[in-house]
Amino acid sequence: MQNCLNLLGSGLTPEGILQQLINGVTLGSIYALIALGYSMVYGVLELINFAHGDVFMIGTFVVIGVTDRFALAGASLALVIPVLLLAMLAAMALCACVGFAIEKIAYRPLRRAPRLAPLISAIGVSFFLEAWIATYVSSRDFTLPTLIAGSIPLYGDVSISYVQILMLVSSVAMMFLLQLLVRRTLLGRGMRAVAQDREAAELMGVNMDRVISFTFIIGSALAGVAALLWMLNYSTNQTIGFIAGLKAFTAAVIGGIGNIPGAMLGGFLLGLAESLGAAYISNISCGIFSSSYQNVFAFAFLILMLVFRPSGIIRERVSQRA
Amino acid sequence: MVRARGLVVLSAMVVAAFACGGSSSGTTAAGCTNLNSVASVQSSDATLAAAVLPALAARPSTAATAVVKIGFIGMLAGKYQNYGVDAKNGAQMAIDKANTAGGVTFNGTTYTFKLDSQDDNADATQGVQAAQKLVDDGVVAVIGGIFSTATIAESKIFSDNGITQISPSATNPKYTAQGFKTAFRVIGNDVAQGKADGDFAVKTLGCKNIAIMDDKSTYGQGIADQVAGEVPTAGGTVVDREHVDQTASDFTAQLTTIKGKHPDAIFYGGYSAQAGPLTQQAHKLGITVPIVMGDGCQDTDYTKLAGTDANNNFASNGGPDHSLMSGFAAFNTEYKAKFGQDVFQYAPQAYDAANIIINAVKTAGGTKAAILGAVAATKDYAGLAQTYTFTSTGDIANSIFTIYKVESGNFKAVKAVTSA
Repeated sequence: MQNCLNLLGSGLTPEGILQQLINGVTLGSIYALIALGYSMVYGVLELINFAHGDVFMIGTFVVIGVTDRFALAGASLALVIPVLLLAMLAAMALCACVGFAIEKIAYRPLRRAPRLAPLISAIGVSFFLEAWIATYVSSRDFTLPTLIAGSIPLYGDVSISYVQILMLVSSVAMMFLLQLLVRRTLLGRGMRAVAQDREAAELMGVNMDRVISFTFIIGSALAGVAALLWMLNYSTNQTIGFIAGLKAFTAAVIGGIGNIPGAMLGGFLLGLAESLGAAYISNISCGIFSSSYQNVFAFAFLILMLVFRPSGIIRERVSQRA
Repeated sequence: MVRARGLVVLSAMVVAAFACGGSSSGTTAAGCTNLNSVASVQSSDATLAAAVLPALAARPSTAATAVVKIGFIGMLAGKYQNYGVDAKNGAQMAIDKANTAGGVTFNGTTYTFKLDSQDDNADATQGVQAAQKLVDDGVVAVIGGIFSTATIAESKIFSDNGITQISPSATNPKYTAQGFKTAFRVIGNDVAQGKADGDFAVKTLGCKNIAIMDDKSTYGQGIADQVAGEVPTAGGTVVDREHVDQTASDFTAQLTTIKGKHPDAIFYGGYSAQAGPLTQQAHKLGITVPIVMGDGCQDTDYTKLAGTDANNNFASNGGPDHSLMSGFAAFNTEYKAKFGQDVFQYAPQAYDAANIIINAVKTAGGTKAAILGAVAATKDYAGLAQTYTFTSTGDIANSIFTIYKVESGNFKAVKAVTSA
């Protein structure tokens, strides 16, 4: 109660807010990268791939596996950067394989089944991946040592770290590349065609199975990039995919599931909501809510969005099938 | 039909029990352990059990041997399995030693011991199930749980069944404050630990402005609340209080708020799986003040997860440092030979807890009530970790805490605090 509305003393200063905005946007950029995977799959299949969070989790373990082979703690950037690139490529490759396999095993055989069936098979895959990692890899927590230290001071106490810049730049770059792929390539045109009308696209000669496979592969590779960025700042264990996946799914829904800029925007908004919420809710609510309600904000946001604007902020502009 | 069949099974077993009690040769040991299975059949039909029990109790008391089932409950697989497996190994060592020595004898009966381990996944719900499993298995005393949240949930089950429970590591005050006669622990509680940590930060480190964070777990928030209470008493100020979710990986929002309050030190109540990344993130944000933690972070997981960022931070732990236990070197050698790894954390306390139970059987016999009475009366029992006297609540009279500092990636004991 002593905190009640003591806003100035609570860090609710321009500097504090600016720093929380930076924190929120960088956290959100990772959610956004994972959200792209949900959104793309939803775009072509109109199904949620609930195993996507676990694909991301596998990626974090690949990153740990690769970086563990090198003595990185305190190493110079000349070693760190190539190793991180290698780890990212390995994570992208392995995640892509896992994504491809998920589609083959859990989705393709159920293409003509009721919609609930592939949803449940994906949840099954998710449980399998978690249990598999816990049993055959490790059920412990892992972090990377601080590899890229330092930050750029911006204004007063406010600073942005190199890792945060890297997160932002990589995720925006990935989204840009993805947009190019979807808008400018033959594969992208196929994806858009399948998204608009699966049967008609097939009649027009689009190889639907191939398009769907590639959608999973690309979405999963992006989860691999997210895995590397995540590990630069956070820790992992076999359960990380569940919460991260749920958050990214929320981001995808907030932004407008099925479209790429929407997923990105949703990710940023969610990151901001979490950061600002965690920082200021205790003071604003007179200590009734505490800063541990971070997840509550994320999911309250999801519910509000579903109630008031179910199609998301950026409405997917595909005309409804007649 | 079921009743009739149960009666047949029971009578057969009663006959077996008489047969077993009547002879005294070593070969009957296997028959005697069947007494436990009789007990579990009884529980499926209470009225029959009531009818048969007097017959069992009245059997000739010439039985020379009996097996006492001791339960172990704790996380044996998963995130914090190190603690559980380590404590289980400690208890196992005490039991194996007692059995190798031929068991203990009370009133003409020689008791040997068997450990029944159940995984509670450090979770209240699964803990209750695991505790019920131990009750159904017919254990007479339990070592565990390891984590407070699960231990408190389990203590109700053991209390209801009159089973002595000794936790080697649960430090939350609530565990022994519920009025259960069966709840004991061989470690100082968080009231004492929080006082020790708060005093240390303010008085020894000379940090006046303390920011306090916790993970909202029973343990983490419990100890953080005690520190928050002690800091003003010791002459310091709590400048900020933050909480994180137990599933969270990102602590930058809370740390940024803390940074704005310019504390001299941060106290974190929680476990190393989160404290490690939290320390890294604090440093990335440019927070360089020392982080003081409780026993949930005083382990190699913390130093491994935080890497070089772990250096110059502090964590307390219940009991004296391993290096201060006089018999520890020999214990560790034996432990390593048996389990292929070094002692991790609470194995000495679990070993002591098991020995207190074994000792109780030696002085009072192998029934639940006898063990409970004898354990409660434990006074100046010299264990491996320290000397134990139980207070009326089931806490220990003199709790020892050691404060450790991370230097070059290893915890080094810097101060021992004894508090009542």
